[in-house]
Amino acid sequence: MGPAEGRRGVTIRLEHISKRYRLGQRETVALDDVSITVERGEILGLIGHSGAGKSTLLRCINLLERPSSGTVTVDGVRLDTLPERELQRQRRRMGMIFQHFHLLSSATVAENVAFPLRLAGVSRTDRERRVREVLHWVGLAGFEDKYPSQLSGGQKQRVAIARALAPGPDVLLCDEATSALDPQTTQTILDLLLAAQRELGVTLVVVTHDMSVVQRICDRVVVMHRGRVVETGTAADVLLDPRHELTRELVREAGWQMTGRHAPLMGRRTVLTFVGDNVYEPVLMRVAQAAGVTFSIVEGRIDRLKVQPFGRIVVDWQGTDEQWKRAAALLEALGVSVSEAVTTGSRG
Amino acid sequence: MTDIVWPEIWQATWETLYMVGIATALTVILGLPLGVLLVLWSTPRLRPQAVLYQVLSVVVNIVRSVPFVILMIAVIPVTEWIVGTSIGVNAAIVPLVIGAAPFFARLAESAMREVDPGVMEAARAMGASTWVIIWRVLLPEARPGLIAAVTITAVTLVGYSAMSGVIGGGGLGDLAVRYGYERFQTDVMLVTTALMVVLVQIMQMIGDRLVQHYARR
Ligand SMILES: Nc1ncnc2c1ncn2[C@@H]1O[C@H](COP(=O)(O)OP(=O)(O)O)[C@@H](O)[C@H]1O
Ligand SMILES: [Mg+2]
Repeated sequence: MGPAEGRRGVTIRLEHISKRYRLGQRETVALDDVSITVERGEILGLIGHSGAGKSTLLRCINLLERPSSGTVTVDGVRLDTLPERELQRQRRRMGMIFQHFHLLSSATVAENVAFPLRLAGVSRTDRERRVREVLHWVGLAGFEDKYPSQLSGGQKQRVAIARALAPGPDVLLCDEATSALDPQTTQTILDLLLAAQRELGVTLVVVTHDMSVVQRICDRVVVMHRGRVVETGTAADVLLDPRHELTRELVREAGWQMTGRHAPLMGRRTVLTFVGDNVYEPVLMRVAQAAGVTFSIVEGRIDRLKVQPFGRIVVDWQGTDEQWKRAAALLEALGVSVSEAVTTGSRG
Repeated sequence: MTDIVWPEIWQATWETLYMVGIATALTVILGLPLGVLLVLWSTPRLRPQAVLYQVLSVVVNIVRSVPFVILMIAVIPVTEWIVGTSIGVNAAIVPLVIGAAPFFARLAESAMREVDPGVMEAARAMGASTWVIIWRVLLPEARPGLIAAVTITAVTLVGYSAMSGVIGGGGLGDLAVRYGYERFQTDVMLVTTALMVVLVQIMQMIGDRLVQHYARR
């Protein structure tokens, strides 16, 4: 597959999108005046509880769902006003993958991957060459003649990714693409999505309810609740410093909100957040020695956000107020963010 | 078994095969598009047409609820108009097709409803038109169910053809009635009935094999 150079991503712009469903007398508002943009070449996560409107919003991008109002612009082209036939042509520039893969069960792997190429009028020989190429890229060389029922879930999703990427789209829309997979398989699929971004320059919009997907691949995140966008920010903002109550809840449910509340209080309780390479340095030890304090780590997590190392630890400091102030200042100076822990937890 | 008229029996067997074969082919040609329309007009993400669907649905139900014996007689004018006569093997095919097409349309409809809507959705996301979705997704994905529907229809047509043969003249059913019922030659009746049983068995076996072949995927 081609390198990323010379390939420009697409800006997706959704403006004032509303979507209402009428079921008899009842009206459901699935989307309520939502505006988002997707930057060229980024991976944008759409998160929120079930029923928040994530899938509906994603499907508005390729007009699988027609918004009740609002505009959809992809790479400068207004899609919502296009006639059906022209829209079909535009959809070929956007791949889509799903939680349950949606492969043709009556067709072989090669026929599945060739499907969009056939739609695009690619000649038979070019199709065959491209199918081999893209199957090789997803790690399924030699699987051409198998049927989907002979594959594992992860392999099926690889075929779906190959099918979506075969025509060389600028955008890949992913609706809960890893939600039906076990953790190990999820990792391999996420690696493939990252490779699509890095090697092919594809822009990805990823609907998920799984915070670990956000952590591992997303650059930016849009948080949705009841058809509205409640928060937008970088993955680090949303995971490490959530603002909206709902985002906090999501982050807490995923075990990201550390407070040390299960640990007995061993001193002045603080939450320290490290982002960047200082995660791996002996920062705490140095600061403690310089300020003359001791400390206990009561909870913590050291991991990476996509490629960026971060650490969040809950630390109890033992020492005088004076000493602690010095320690806090030193920590801040080293780029560690310090906040007081909410100490509602158990004591002694 | 002394006075069994074997040449006549083979002739009648051939006539039954001919009637059932042609009628099945025409039934599929007529009924499959009807089945596709029934699905198309009642599926939100395809081409929902509530009124058209209701009309077609009612017409299909009416034809299906008329007993075949009555339908056979009722369509005689149509038969005369199409074939030029209301007797003979060719004339017998007309009521068979009119009777079986709505039946097959319903079977085809339910086979196509089994197709995962998500797969059609994926095709739409790839830029497929409704026509392409029908042709390259709906029909191929429903193939095992459609083959089963053809088998059921063909088997049903063996039974119908015995009835329509009585009026139109021809086939195993006609023979059974002429010799067995009218001339009390029970042996002829038994042989013709046995032949129909064998015919049905063979058709069912072929159908099942084909379904198995395509469903293994
Ligand atoms: N075709 C539909 N008809 C009626 N209501 C729908 C339809 N699709 C979605 N909804 C409603 O819209 C809301 C948002 O759904 P969805 O976008 O699927 O949420 P999410 O993907 O965040 O779980 C839900 O309340 C859902 O019931
Ligand atoms: Mg969803």
